[in-house]
Amino acid sequence: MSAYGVSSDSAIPKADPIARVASNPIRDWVFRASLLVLSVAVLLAYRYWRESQLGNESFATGYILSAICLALLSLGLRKRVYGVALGPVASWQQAHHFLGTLCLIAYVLHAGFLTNGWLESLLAILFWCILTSGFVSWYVNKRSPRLLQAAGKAILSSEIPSAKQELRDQAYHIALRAAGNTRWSAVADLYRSRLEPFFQKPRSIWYRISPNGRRRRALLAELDASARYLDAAGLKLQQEMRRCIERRDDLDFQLAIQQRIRFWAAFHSCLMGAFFVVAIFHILIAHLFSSHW
Amino acid sequence: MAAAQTSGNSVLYDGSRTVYRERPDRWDHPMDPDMLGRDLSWVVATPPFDRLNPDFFATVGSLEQILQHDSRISRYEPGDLILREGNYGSSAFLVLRGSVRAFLVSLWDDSSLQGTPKESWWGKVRKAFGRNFPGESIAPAEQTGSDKRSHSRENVRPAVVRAISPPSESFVVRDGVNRVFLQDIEGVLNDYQSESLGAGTLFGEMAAITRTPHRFSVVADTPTVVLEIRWQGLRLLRRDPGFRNFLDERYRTSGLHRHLRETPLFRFVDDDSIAAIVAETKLESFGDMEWFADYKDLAGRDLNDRIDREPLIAKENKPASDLYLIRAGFARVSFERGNGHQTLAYLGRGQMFGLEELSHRFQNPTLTPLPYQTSLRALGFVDVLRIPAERFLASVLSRVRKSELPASILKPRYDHRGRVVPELHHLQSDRHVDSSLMEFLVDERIMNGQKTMTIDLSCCTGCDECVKACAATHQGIPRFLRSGPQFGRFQFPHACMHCVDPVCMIGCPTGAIHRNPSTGVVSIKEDICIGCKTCAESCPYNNIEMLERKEKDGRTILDQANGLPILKASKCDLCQSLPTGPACQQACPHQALFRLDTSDVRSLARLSTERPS
Repeated sequence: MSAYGVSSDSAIPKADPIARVASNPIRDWVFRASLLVLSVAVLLAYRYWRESQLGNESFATGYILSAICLALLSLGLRKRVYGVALGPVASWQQAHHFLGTLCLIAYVLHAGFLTNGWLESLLAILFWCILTSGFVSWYVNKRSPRLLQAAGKAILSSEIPSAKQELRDQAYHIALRAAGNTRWSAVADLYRSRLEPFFQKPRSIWYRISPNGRRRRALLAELDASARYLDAAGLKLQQEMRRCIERRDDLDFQLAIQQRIRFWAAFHSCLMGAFFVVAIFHILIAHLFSSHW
Repeated sequence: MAAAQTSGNSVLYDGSRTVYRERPDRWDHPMDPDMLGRDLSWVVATPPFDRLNPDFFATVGSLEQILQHDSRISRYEPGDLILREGNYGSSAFLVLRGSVRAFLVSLWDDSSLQGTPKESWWGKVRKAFGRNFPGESIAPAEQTGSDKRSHSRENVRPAVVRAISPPSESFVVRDGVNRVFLQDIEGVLNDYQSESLGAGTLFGEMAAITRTPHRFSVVADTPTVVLEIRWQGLRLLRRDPGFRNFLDERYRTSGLHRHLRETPLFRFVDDDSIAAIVAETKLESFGDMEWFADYKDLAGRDLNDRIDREPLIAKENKPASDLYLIRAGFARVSFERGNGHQTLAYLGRGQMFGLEELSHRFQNPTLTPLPYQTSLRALGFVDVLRIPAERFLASVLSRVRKSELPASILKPRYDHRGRVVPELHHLQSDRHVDSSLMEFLVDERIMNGQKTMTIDLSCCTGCDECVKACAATHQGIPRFLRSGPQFGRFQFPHACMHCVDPVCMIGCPTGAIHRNPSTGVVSIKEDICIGCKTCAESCPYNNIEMLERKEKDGRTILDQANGLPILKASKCDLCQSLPTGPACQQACPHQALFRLDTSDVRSLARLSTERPS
């Protein structure tokens, strides 16, 4: 027994389920993989059973694929429903990932890798785009939190513009102070030639697509190179400017990462809408012209 | 305003997006609007109110006015539950007529107070077979039905003949009021030790004053009339020094006895020894009850400076002459490291300081006693009980199982001669908890939270689904801000933490900000809130916002006297009205947002095991 409240493992209370993140990731992955293998086996068995019954296996797998696609859509609906006991969105998201993977198998069983006809080809292109964007979105969601964490203190995306403005003003005033003394003017010169565009202009589209630290490193190297022209007070200004550059780059980085997450989620949803419109046409045509119906 | 039209007595409507009303007042909502004048006269003439000096209340109103607004008279039949142990107290109760029984032991174990825990599938299988399998231990609560009845080893009753089950409760409506009563009250009184409290006795006041849960249950013994005084009234009555002394004396005569009895380490101590401990125990308070003002002023200063300003309760390297039992509030356990202090732990209500040192002394009687190994400092306002070491050793430690005592201190930080070179283990608070996390929680006072919103930034993508869910369930205005203090990968946003000691409740003049008696969730009754901002200014964490009051159709309500908006306090209510619990938590797609009981160090230990980095 300890007076400090922590004594032994047995005293640790049970976890709140919502607070628990996969405590044993290997076990979870094995479970999900087993479930997927089982589902695929059931799908294959059903397909061959339909074939052996001389039924139309394309219709059978098509219905299954449609059902899975509808189930995949339900995540979007769940996210818009609040206060109803439907389980946490995180569980729905996990189910979405599982069904997304299963959907790939069902699609291959239904249509194969190559398709004929313009409508089917369009549908196939949309399907593969959705699958790719879904996978990219999943990866970006997994990877981004770590990247955001590495970019300093978390800040709300809505507060980034005002924080940038503040830094811009701060850098301008440092440069103004530096310009007032010839022993510090190297900082002002650098600001005028290289740093002003950095603070004033938004980052390029390429940076937004693939944020990186190249420009930050280059600017900091130039700032460090100016140290030999500065006295002690000038070095202090240089350090202040350095912090402004780092903070500004962190903000740009956070914004780019957050925009990337939003872009892929929006892109995935838009493609999904287009896919469903084309899929409805496909189902109608299949039923109208099929001899099996 | 000139074009305003009169609509009813107090509502003016000028056809725009605003509506004019009278500003709500502290005296608008009496606790019992139907209290009769003759009842009030009877109460005022009853002790202790007949001895109060009206001059002390002159600035806020008369004694009658206070009692009329902040108290109510309730009638109970035998067996009716008046107070339930574990429920948070916000009122004191005075027996006006009849008598009640206060139970000296717990009627319900913790699990039944917190709801039935989910049974595992293995538990269900075991229950189906109706037996325990080899190698399984029985939970202490299941084993020790007799523990509830027996205080001390000396007074143990004969072996248990029949199993004692917790009392069954039923609901009944009496005079239009819902009441809970205990079935077979005679049997319950036989099974559980209780104390009779007659007319003129006050109870429940300590829970109301210290904003803590009741430690005992009270039922009506006979047809009883009870006066319930809410905290707001109690606070005003305490202006009279006589009434304040009356409350302190009440605590010393009965509250302290009960408090010690409920402390696990004291459960085998006999009544005579408890009485001796009570006689020698000192009640001490450290810090300011309204500590949040100082805390806000000192925020941002050097940490060592802030720690130095914290009132010192016990100093390291000084003789361990007392055991400190925290009665209310929090205290920092730290030790000197280099030029500063390192935090090792924080202690909350019911925890002890000095136990290790005294236990070491008890287990090694031939060795020279060790001094305190750490210092204890008040975080905000702390109430402590100081029990002399000699008395504690003689009356308590001699009766405690050795397995319940902390292990001997093998590598002391200070031996009886003075300082010993620090070793690595001295710098660690515990093998489970990151010392710097503990220090951060103490410095930010986040250790006060019971339902602290925590975001794991290693999972959070900043999608704002939590904020959208909160806004969607609260008329479009989110009740938290997704930014706040950050420690490593954990962020503690500006959301109400439903504190152990909710200082926001201290100053509320109407009782609008209140605590759910059973769940401990702090929420605001919007219809009673008068928008005085006291709670928002008191909250040390800036987690309460003042919003403009609006009609259901969205029109802003303005004060008809001066045209200024009428405000209301708004904060996270943990979505109590929703069956799902907090909407933000449900909406997070990455399981990044969760609630953490930061007041309990064990939760922090759990955090590192459940969420490995």
